[in-house]
Amino acid sequence: MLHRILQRQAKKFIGGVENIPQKWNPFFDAISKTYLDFDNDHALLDRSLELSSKEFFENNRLLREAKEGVEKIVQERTKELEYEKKRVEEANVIIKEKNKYLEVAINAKNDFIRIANHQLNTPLSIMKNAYSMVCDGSLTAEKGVEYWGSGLKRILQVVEEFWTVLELEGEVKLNIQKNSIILAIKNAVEDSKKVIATNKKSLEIIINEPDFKIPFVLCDIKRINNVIYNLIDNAISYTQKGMISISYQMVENNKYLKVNIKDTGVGFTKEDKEKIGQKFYRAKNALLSHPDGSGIGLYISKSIIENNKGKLFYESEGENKGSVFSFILPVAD
Amino acid sequence: MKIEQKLWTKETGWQNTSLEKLSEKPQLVLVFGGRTLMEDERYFKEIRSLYPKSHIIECSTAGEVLDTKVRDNSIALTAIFFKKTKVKFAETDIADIDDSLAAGKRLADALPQKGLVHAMVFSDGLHVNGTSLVEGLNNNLPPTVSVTGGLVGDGADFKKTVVGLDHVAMESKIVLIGFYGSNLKIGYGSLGGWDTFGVERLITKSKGNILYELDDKPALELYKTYLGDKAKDLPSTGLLFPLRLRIKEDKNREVVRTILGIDEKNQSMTFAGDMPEGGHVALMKANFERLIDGASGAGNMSIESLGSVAPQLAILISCIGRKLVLKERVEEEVEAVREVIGQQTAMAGFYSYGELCPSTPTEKQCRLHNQTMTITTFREE
Repeated sequence: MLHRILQRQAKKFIGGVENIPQKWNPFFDAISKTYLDFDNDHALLDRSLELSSKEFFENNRLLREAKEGVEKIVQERTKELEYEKKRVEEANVIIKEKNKYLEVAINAKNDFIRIANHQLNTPLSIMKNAYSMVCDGSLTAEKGVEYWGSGLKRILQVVEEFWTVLELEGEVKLNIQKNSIILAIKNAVEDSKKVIATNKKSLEIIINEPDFKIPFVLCDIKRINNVIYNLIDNAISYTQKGMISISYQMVENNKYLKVNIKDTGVGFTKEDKEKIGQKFYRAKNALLSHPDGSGIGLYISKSIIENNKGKLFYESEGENKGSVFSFILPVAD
Repeated sequence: MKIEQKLWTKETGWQNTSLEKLSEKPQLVLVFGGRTLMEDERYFKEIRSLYPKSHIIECSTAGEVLDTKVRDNSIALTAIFFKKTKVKFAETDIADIDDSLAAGKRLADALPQKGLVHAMVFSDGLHVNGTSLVEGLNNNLPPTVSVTGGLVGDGADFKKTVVGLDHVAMESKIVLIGFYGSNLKIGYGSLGGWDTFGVERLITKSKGNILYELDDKPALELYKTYLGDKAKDLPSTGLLFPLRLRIKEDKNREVVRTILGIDEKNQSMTFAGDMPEGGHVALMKANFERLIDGASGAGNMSIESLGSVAPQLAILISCIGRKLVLKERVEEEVEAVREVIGQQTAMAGFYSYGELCPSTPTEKQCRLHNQTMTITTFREE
């Protein structure tokens, strides 16, 4: 059977395959076989290219999907990285703050040691000198004992203050109850009057009675008592003459009772104001008028007030213009 | 050098095809023939009686080339008398594919190296890893010695290939001829002409020349998909789609690999040379004109080093894959070679299961090729 192209050509040119001369048959058979082989090869090639195309399409699809997948992953990772970056930045801020805090803490520790040394050294020097003088007979034993007594008292006071600081910086157990601070203030004022008398200062201390009924407050009265004594002591220490007046106010919609201790003493500058209340800080004029102060009393008072959910305030018009130290405490229902 | 050529066909019996008739005793008689003929003692005896003192090398083929004719189940005989050149021979048995490297070394060691200028190898075509055989030869021969040759064939059957040196051709034999002396000029060239198509695939599982998986899928399955109903004629139809192998570790060198056998049970395919894991392969397809151009190009390469004087003899070893594709046009590639090397050169050869030749005319390092026309030319001065 000749290839269909040859059959058609035979028909066209010689009327049909039956008219091919017999001697030409091998020739036509050879051409026919070539045509058939060509068809087969062509079919195989077509098939291969079609399969190959399919593979390319499939690979293309997979690549596209992979690309989309990669893009998605990149987006997610970018988001994660941004989040992490933010977290790192935040952590950096915290670390910087902590570093600052640590720096302050290290400085504070150094100050603590320096001040402890100074605070203890002064009474110890007095006691040592008194001892020497008693030994060489230039001071009577009786007088010596008096010096030692006062030195020991000072040492005990310093130690107690430091313990209070350490206690306040740790976990403080407070006994918060409904209390009246009227009595505490009265007692403190009465005691202060004796101190003023001893110091021979021309200083008056008064309580301005309010025109409202002083309410009960929520506080640990024992510790607030310390605050009141400390603030009045400070007022006496830094005021040579004039007046110390104590007044009451209701603030913040009557939710807090405010106690103001106003003096006519050395006062402080705006710059000092920012640092007053920090541990061991002492204003320049405070140092001049009362060099033995530890700079710790106000820090303790501030910490106690804050632990009692209150707040400590201090104002001054400037140096030698007096000052007002106040605190507020929450009113009991 | 004097050459006498004879042809045996069932129809005509022995006949002289060359004008020249040797009066001298040839040292070398190359016999290329159909496998059953080569195994038949009768024909060997006939040849021996024609050349009682010569070394006779018999090779089974996938098609015999004599002059510009390509035949099947014929015997193409070329008897060569060298005036000045000496020839020496070595033969070895190859135990199995894993013996390929050692077999190459054994053969190389068996030839005296002094004065050796070229070697030609004819190897069993099925029980050998061509890459390893070549490596063995390259390793143990001096680097100045070039090697060409081929893996002999068995039609399109891929069942049994035979080779013999001075005896009836047998399975699992490899013969090496050494050519000695400065008067012999040798040229060689090897080109394919196949085009890659489709996607490149990664060899994910292989062992030596046995390929199991491409891109983690059975390689045999891929071939079957592409061959369609022609898959039933595997392995021979596998030659329609040789593989272009790119080896990244070897400077991205590209070689063509052709299939020798399949194993349905293991879903594997055996190739003529190594198919290393990590290599990349792409299917190749034939382009008639390029195949013919390839043959012509190989011809040009093979005479490049011989200068202006034409060679006296050209041995053509062309891949069975080309014959399967070219079919009735197969003689066109032999004619293309003839056109290039000239009318005076005696031409003989065979269709093979693998071709061995350096990649360029200036290179000595022999390599295994597939799907190429590989030509070795000789001229004695």
